Amino acid sequence: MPLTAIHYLHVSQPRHGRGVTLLGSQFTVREFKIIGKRIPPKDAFDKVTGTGTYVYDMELPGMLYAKLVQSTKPHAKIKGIDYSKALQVPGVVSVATGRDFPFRIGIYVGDRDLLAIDKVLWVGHPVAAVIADSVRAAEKALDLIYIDYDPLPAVFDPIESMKPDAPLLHPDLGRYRVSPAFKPRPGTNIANEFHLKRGDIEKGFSKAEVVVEGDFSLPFMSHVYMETQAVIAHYRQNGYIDLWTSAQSPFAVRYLMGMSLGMPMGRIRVHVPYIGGGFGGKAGLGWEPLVAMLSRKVGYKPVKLLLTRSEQFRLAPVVAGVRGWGKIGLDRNGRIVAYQARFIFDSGAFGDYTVNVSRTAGYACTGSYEIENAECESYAVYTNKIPTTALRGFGYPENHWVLERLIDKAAKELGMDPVKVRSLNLLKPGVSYTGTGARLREDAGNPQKVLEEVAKGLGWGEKARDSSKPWRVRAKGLAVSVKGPSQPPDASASAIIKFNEDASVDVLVGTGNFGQGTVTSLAMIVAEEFGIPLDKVHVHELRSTNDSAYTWQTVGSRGLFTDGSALLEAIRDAKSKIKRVASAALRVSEDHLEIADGKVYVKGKPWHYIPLERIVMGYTFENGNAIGGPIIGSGRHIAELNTYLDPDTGQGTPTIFYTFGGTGVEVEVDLLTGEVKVVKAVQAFDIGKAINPLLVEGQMIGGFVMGQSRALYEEIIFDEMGAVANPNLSFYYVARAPDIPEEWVLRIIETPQTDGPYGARGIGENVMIAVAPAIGNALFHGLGVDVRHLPMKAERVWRAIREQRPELYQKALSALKEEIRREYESLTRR
Amino acid sequence: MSSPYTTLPEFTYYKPKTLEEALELLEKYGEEAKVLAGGVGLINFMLEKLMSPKYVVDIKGIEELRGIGYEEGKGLSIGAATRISEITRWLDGNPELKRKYQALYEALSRIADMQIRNRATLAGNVCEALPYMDSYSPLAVYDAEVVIASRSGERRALITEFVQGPGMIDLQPEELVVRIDVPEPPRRSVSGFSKIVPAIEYSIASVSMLAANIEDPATREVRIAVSAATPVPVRVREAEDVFKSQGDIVELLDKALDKLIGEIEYDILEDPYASAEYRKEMIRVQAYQLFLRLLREYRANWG
Ligand SMILES: Cc1cc2nc3c(=O)[nH]c(=O)nc-3n(C[C@H](O)[C@H](O)[C@H](O)COP(=O)(O)OP(=O)(O)OC[C@H]3O[C@@H](n4cnc5c(N)ncnc54)[C@H](O)[C@@H]3O)c2cc1C
Repeated sequence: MPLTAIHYLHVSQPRHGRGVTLLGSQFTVREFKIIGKRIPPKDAFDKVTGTGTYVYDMELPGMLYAKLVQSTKPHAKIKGIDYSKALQVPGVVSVATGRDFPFRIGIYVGDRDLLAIDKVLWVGHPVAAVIADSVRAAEKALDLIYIDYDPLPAVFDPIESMKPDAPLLHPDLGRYRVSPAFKPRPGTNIANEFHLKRGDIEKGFSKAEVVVEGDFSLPFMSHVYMETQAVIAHYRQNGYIDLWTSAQSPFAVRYLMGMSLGMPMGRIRVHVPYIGGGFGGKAGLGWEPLVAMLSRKVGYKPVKLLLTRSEQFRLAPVVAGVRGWGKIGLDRNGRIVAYQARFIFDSGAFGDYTVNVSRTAGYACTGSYEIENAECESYAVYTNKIPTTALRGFGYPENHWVLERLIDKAAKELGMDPVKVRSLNLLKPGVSYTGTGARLREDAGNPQKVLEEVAKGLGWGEKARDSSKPWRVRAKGLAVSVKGPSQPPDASASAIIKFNEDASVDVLVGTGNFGQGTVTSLAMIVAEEFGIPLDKVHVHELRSTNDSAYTWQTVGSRGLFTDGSALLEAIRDAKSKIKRVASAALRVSEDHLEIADGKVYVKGKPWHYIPLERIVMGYTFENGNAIGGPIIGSGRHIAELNTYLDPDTGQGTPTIFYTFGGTGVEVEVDLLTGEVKVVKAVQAFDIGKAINPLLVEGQMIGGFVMGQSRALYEEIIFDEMGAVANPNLSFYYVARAPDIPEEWVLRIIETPQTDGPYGARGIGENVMIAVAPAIGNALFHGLGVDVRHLPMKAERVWRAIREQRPELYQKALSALKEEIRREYESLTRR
Repeated sequence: MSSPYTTLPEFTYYKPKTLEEALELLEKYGEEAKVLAGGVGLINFMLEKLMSPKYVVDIKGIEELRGIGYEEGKGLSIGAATRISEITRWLDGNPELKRKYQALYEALSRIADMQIRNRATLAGNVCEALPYMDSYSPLAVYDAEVVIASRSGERRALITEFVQGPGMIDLQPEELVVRIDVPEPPRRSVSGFSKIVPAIEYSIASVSMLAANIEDPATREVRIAVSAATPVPVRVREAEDVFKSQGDIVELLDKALDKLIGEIEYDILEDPYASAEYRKEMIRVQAYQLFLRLLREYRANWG
């Protein structure tokens, strides 16, 4: 990576808020030995050397392989499926169709089938599964399955799909299983709607000096995790199911499978080895129920389903396209007096997870600002296209793309500096109420400081540097962002630690390990708390529902916060057990004991100690008498004081924390080709405490590049049948090494949150949210060109320049021609 | 374009050691055979079941098809089994020739990535015949010829005539491309390549240019070749002739480009990755930028 200049800076903040002292020993000024150190991730070696095991690589004895037959019609009744020829292919064991599994699954709106039941809903919809003893046999059989369709009218546009006469994808919507927070509208294609109402919108706008509105959009995109989806299922004759799956959240897989199949949870054992990326696309439930059913169908043999990249693009859930609209009013002083927004999520054929993404975009529509009068609505709408699911950011990149762009437009209209307008309206912890009407915790972070750091890092107010060529211009822009986990109000987590004979520690957690680095941070916490070297703390890469501690899901930037809190409780539990034994051995009361440096010692007399090795399996006196026993600590965490949101107004407390952040960019735009190159990136986040700054920076850089990729390049293209037209990485472009900016300013701000581990908040998602708006604002601020549809790819920017600033284009062209003339003259003059 | 398949259909694989043997196989199996060079294209087409040859004739074992030759005055001759990275490395070792064939060098070194350049051949690139093949515009600008052999002898075709349309080339099933001849460029010339790759793997508009004796209208020669924006690589001689006139250089360039674009206007491609309008303008913009670069290089080399 061409990182020529990384500036990083820690800004440790005193707690923000008024007059309350922080409780808990975590925040008394404390010298850390490990916490706060830049430590490379524990899994780096396995990943870099390619020695880690992924489901993709796994083979079991006697394993069979499944391949999926894809629908060639966007919307059609299945009249018949003839697979007799397929069964004759040597090696083919069985063929399954939707009729074999007449039930639906899902996390929020249970609208998914395992294989198309009587009707296909998009080009790519799996209609049948072939199971064979080799991939070759299965692939041969694919071409010998004949499906007789009766075409139905299809709908590809979400706005069309909302109309009363649109063809219905899910006539049984009213009968699907739905989680409490969701409201599908049976008899329509609306999988969910959400409304947020706060204050009086009319009155708000009547006080506005300027009102700015606009349509915005984001295309469908793919997560493009490196490891495509992979599941191995072994339905055993004794009634247990073993699943090896590339999934983010083993316990969610177990729970949702148990629920949908009506199976006892304990009989479903979900194992997750290394995962080649997830980004939300492997949250919730995936192919596991299908592959488990296939395993049973073929006589209780293990079956593997592995998607190719093109299958991944055509039949596995991607990220919803969004049509957004927003309208903002500022008063004379720059205060936001009213904000209105609408988001229509094109959820494709299934809305299962996207219903929650759209709901989140709705309830978090007011971003980092205090807005007294707000009305936002969001919809998840079915269309005959590939289904969609969660992505890193989960509704926030979508609502920020509207709000953060409108702020700049309104600021310009008012003749005010957009940084000033932001500063004026940012939420004030302890004082302000968020869009859902919840008073913001007083230790929620320091949004003003974040904004300040972004502006400073970017050199806001100083002119952008001159570019090397007259037809290229440099421009700067910024945006702020906020992100909290979108989880049910009762989501919980747990952790177990157990000591080994050498006083090393095994940590059992359920949180996934697919690039966030949480696992390394958790190990650092254990090492810190017991004063033992980091290499004596072991977090196995394998998660198994039968021997990992429970956590609801690995999503929403929650892992360190929730599982880390549970882990601290487990550590306290283990410590008190250790002290109980040591108290007897050392003949002092437990209160007078301290644990550090791998020892239990008497406070004030550190030379009076017992090494942990002599305690953690039980303490043995000189004569052989023994007390205690193996030390195991357990801890838990549950979201506290979160609520369901009011079904009509969306008011309530939806998250356990909000992380405030901001992004600044300097871009170089080729006025003649429309190409945008990001030359400098600024990232600033108040994460409470950086347990491992190296990994935080990794998130800041990786998240930026992912955000940049979404802003400038990524887009799924559909053909006239609604089929994905670019199901490969040649035509679906993802940012590559040369696209990465060369100059970075990374700022970590640490305003601790009392109930987070050492004060920490989550960081994994927010890092990409403000990137697109910052780039959009740079084009707007620096070039006067307003691009409101993603991606801001070269032709779109080129067109915008030609339409909105034709004089710029002409000037650039003349400059180029002038240089040709000059160069020619200096050639002929001699 | 892309498929659910991960296994290849069955076929018989031959790896002949001599050209004679290869030509015999091609004659014998005709349409049922396919030539395999680097396989970068062919294997993918077979995986996608776009091509299902019964016989695959691998030419990488044929010594006489390997390597690069150069003869002063005649030019380069590149064997059909020579990998793209071998060509660029060879030119790196011959700075004089690298300068002569700068446009070709630039285009080849920007194809895909190192892994692909290490396998793919120039002849394979030429035979794949998708509009965005990077070798097309530079080969056109040097008037390169494709040398084709069959059991009945050898023939030659200009690159602009060899490529007939997307996926279509002037080649019979029993014929084999044996080498690409790239003639000696004019004396005192400079050349260069430019492409626009907007958020996809491939170029949507490529321009190669060659310019000689720029300062003297009487002997000046400017060649412009376009590919990727059009189904096949194109040169418009009439447009190039404009440079033989006296007058303001920018006006000449404008006029030449008007002529060029006027000629190909209705052939310019339009797809979800770029509109015809954008492609058209990108031919123009790149031509200006490239010409400026060539002027500078010309001054440095010959000024
Ligand atoms: C990921 C990826 C990225 C790519 N990016 C680029 C890019 O940026 N620019 C670009 O120009 N190309 C690009 N390509 C295309 C690639 O360059 C071509 O596929 C490659 O050059 C073909 O050469 P080959 O030697 O591998 O040919 P093969 O795959 O072996 O053959 C290709 C076709 O030509 C025929 N053929 C080959 N040699 C002969 C011969 N001597 N006589 C007759 N017929 C013959 C074969 O039968 C086959 O039909 C990319 C390809 C991939 C997979």
